[in-house]
Amino acid sequence: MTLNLVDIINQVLEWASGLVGLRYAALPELVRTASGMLIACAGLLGYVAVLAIFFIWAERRVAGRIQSRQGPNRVGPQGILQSLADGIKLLIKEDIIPDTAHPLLFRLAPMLVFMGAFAPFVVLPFSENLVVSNMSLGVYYALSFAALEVIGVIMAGWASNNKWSLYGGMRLAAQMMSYEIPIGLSILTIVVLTGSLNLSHIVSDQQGAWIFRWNIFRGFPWAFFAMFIFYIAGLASSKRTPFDLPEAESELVAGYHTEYSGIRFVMFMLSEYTTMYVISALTAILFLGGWHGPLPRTVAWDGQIYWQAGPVAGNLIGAANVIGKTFFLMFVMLWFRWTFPRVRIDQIIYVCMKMLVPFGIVTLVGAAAWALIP
Amino acid sequence: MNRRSTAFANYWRILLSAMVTAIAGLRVTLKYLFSRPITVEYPDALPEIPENWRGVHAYETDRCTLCRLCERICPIHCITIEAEGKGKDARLVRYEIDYRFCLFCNLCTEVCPVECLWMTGDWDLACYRAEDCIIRFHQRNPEEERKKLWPGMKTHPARLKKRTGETGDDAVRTGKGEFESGATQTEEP
Repeated sequence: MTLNLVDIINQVLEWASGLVGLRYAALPELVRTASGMLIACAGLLGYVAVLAIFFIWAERRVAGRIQSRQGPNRVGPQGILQSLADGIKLLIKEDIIPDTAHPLLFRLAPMLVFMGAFAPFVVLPFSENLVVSNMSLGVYYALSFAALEVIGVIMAGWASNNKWSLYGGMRLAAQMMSYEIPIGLSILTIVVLTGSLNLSHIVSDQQGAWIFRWNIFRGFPWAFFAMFIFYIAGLASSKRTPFDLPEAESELVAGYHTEYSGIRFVMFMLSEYTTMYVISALTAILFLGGWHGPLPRTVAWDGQIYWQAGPVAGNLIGAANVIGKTFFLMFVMLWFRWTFPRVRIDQIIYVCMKMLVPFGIVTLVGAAAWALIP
Repeated sequence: MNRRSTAFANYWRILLSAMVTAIAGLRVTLKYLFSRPITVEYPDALPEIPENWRGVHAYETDRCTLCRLCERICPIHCITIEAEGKGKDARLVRYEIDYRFCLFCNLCTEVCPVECLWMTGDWDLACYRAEDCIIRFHQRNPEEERKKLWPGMKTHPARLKKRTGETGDDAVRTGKGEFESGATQTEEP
């Protein structure tokens, strides 16, 4: 059994408690596991928050440069603290709940949405040991929790008691539910090729030959097309342009979060960028070789190993690979957003039902036939 | 049969055009992403002004014949000329242009028979009080004053050679003295 993030945190805690003369190992098993999980969760939350702050700034800068503007460049060097300042502004705003809104569901909805977006982080591996839980149904878990987001958004749309919010929520229900199918089909393609639902297994299956054992090369052409299907469908399920109909600002004010402001709006923003990260990271892990990335961890030629990274360096290089590829894919999402106009709702369903689903089935059947060939 | 095959061909055409147009659009935005922004961050950087920019006027008192053509042709009457005496003995008392209203249409400089009025590249007229936008060119030494007031002002190339050490009274840039009234005066930040 390989170490995971909770084990590593517990070992560090044990070592640190030894320094101050306490015995961490004497605590009950349950307490140790729970504290390790809590610390891992807090760390990931911090990571997500910093990520969102960075990417909101990056999005605005990229938008500015694509439109030949400057973008925010006043707060901090190159304006990098802009979204931090915006966040502080939003945190100190008045907490407004509309009179006619359902008070409980209105409060619950942003939490559910963020939970759905954040939960897949449990199984997202940064490298072979830097993963909170190495569960064998990792892909399945991530998919099922991504579906929780739909419930939260519909709840937000309904509880706001506002026609724009309701329209946004309904659009999102139609969109996310239908795009679950191509996402599932393209992931199944990889599952068929690998024979495992465990994300770590899927990645370790792509080891070797620098980048040429990545799934997109190994399972060519099926996994190659499956990657595009997954990425486009993921774009739609993370409500990004060109599929941002649920919050189409020209028609629906702000869609399902029209009535939200302050800290609750922050949670919606945070969950949007978290979903983007999860989709990009899953693309990197499933199709682009995870931590067996462009940065090599083993230098070998002709069967002879010249250099091999140790456990610490190997994990760090692996994490750099995963995060680098994820950031690149997120940048592509930003690039898409400022390139493509928003599509109509019938076009969204057309793309899903007539293009992504049939091609998804073709890739799945093709990959199944591929897997039969020894 | 025919209709069905058309629909089938249509489907592939849509798919192909979606990919082609998507890549074309992405190329355009990528090009702009790596090009320099055209925004000029004004207080920190000044924009480049073309040679034929129609900005704040420059006025040469000594050459002016007081024909008042500029005053007459101005479509919004923002030029005010005050003179004493008649005919050849006329002397200029006040010459001012109200830049709150000026269109920078260039009619006044085109109509001037002695070319004593022309337009410079100065554009930075922002001020805190509306009255400050009225610029008085009364008996000023254009070169000296322009240097003092607007460092960016260019001299009319045709004028540059002809001018020889003129002197003039202290020109008043703004109509402050004229319009100031203690009661309504606001503090300048």
